[in-house]
Amino acid sequence: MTDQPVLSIKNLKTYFYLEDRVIKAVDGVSLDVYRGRITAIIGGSGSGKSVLSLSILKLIDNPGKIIDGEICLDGVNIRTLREKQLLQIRGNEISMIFQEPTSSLNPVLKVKSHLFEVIHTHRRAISNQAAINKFREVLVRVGLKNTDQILESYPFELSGGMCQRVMVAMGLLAQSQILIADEPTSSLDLTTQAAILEELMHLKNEGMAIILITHDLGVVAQMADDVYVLKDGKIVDSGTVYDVFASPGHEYTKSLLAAIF
Amino acid sequence: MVIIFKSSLLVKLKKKKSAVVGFVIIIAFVLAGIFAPVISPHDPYAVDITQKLLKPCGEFPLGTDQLGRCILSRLIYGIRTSLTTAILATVLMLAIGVPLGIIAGYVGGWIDNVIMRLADMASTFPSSLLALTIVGVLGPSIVNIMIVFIVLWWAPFARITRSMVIKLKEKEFVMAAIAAGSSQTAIILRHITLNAISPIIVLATLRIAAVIIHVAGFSFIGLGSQPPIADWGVMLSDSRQYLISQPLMLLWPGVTIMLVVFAFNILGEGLNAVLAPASGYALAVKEGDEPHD
Amino acid sequence: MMKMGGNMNLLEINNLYKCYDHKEKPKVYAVYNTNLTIKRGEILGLVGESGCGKSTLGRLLLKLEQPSHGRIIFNQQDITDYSFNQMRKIRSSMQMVFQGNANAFNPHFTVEQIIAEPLNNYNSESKEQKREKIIAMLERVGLDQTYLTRYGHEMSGGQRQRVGIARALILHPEFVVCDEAVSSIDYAMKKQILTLLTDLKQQFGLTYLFISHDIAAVNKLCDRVVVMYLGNIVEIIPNINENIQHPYTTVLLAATLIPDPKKREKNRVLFKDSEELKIPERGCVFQNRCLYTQEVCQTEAPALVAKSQEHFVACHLSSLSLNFAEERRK
Repeated sequence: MTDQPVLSIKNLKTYFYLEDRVIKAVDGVSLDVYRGRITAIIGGSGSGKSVLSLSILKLIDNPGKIIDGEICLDGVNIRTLREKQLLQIRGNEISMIFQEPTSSLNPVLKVKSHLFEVIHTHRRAISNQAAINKFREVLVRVGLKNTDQILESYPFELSGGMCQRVMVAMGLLAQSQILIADEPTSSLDLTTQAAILEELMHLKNEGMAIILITHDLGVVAQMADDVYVLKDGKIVDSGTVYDVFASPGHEYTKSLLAAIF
Repeated sequence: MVIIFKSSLLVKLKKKKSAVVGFVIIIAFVLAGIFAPVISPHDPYAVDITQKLLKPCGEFPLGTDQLGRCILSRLIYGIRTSLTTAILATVLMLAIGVPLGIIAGYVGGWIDNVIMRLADMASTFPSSLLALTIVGVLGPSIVNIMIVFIVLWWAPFARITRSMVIKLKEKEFVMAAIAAGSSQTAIILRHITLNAISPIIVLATLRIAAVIIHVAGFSFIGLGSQPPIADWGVMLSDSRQYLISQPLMLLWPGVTIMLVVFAFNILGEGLNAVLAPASGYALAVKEGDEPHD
Repeated sequence: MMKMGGNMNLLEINNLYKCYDHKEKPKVYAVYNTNLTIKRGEILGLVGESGCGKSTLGRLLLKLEQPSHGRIIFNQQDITDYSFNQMRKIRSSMQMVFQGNANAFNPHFTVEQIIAEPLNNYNSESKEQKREKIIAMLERVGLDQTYLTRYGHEMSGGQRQRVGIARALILHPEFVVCDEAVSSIDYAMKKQILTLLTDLKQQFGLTYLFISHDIAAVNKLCDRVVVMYLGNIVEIIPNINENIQHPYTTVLLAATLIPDPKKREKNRVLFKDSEELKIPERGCVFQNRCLYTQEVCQTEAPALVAKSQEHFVACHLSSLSLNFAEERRK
């Protein structure tokens, strides 16, 4: 790996200040994400993996706060950026897909409108027809062949898998370098999961950097290149997927792997 | 079990300051109403023309009305009429609306249709029209006005109960209760009604306030309580003629009504926030899964 | 092991249909013309994706939903037309374990009340005796008596799952339906729960219907596996392994992710993607997503045919490919 990491996180700390206690959701996490590789973050519920992904986009609200660390995107520390510059990064450089695809799309907007929104927020000068053609292109790339019908559909008319693909298409449209997938297939069926994972594999092969956040060791084993194991907000184990599965360095990883049958 | 439920409710309510304020005001009003003969300085019905229309003074803390009756005493006795009518009317609305809602939601089919169409009629019928009709036939009295509200206002209780029951009867725990061999009655009471009760309590609290305002309104226009009964609406009505010469006479009952309605409303809102279904679940999610052993 | 004659089957369903009457013209079938027998003492797996009717089938068996057509025979009694109160008399011998989410428990109930509910319905012992039984059962599923006063939402998924199992087994039923009992919990917990279910089966001589979308879990636990697709049984097989013959089972197996990076699969998608999931009017249920659809698949629905004593497949291709294999042998 002679490449420079496209995203490099150093000693990130995100704490939640509650009335009676402080929850250290992310407590000194460092990790590197490379182009054309899938970086998996494994953790059980409550390990802080979702807070970590939201921290990368600085989407942490009160009472949470990023109190320390660096998030370097192409060498720029985005912790120092203003809200306006961050808007450029969210969606533009980094896009995100979530566990519940149907609820991450606005139910009263057609798929078309969602895609137009991506174009408008990134202020691309483009004619409507050209935009529609572009939409068709990205939809086909994520495996949605029936493009005319999909563009005119509302999210609730689509299945969970299709919504997830639309989310991925939005990321493609914004030409993001990094895709954060937070449990992208946990709520989906086996066959839909297989199809979505295949799309993610394609994107990776086209050079996108993908951060795959999951608790599913099967997904990790089949998809990931690099693996970080998160427990109680700390990285307890890391390495290539082969190293981590063959010789886990931490008791927690060992216990996870021991439970596989 | 109901006691456990209520005590845990009170504990939760403590965290909601505004609700506590409302609760305290309501309790104060209730106590004042119960102990009215002890705490009111005068007989609310004692007429003394020589003392009429006095400003607040040592003997009459809030002054006197056009017949020389003590306003404070009349306000305190007015609590009895207002709160009893409001609470009694609301309890009767519950007694009609909740069982009908449960039947409509649980049984469904044409029974549901009949009950809900009745509810539609009740909610769309203009209350003033019905009030005038009933008063025209039976004569003006607070009981007749109560009947009007009970006849019309059971509908929202039926509706909210029905929607809760429909939502709840699809839940897995209801199915689990059937699988556990529980009887229909047990399922309806312990599993469905118990869980539907929170929004009903909230609605009832808000309805009590609404009944107080409306009953005062009808008494004001002469369709409800009749003079000389110590009633806030009647007091407002009496004070109309003395608006210029003795404006305080109007202010006292107005402020009292406002205060008690406000108290019920903030209590209702507090209950609503405390009883929101997510309150427990959020905690469980935050604490995460158990450690691996 | 096997008892004589008809006593072998604990549960039998014949031509079972469940159809939801929507306003739309084409009826939606959750379960379509299903025949199945569950033998006494076996663990029968039921796999399929969401919406394939596997949960509905489980609920039909316990009469938690009423079938539209067909018969259900439990312990040699035809229970199809039993009323709510008739069912109450036999519910102590048939129980259900629900998915371990908070919805499975009344939010106002403590664990003690949750587990006591079935006990109160069938048992007239004193409160102390019941409590003793509840504590013993809690300990059996790996929880102690400090859990008695907890509420459903105060527990983790794994703990709720155990309470659900305790509730189902407290009456010592003969037949237990486990609906997604190990979904939504992590690997370590899953392994524990599966071991627990196996132990309890041996201790109490239970018969399970184990409904899951998790093929690894089903393979580990079950004696026989039924594969369902859109309300139809497409294959019945002792184990989901290389012997599978239905294209849909192949799809499921290929889509199952092996948690070992050294065994990476190239082709995980062995089906036509993003097609509508509707039961076709004629022919095989899987024809719209199948890669090998023939003309016959579009016109005729394949019957469930025995391949061996324990292996049944509903696919036109399987008879064809068998012929090919025989020809090749010649």
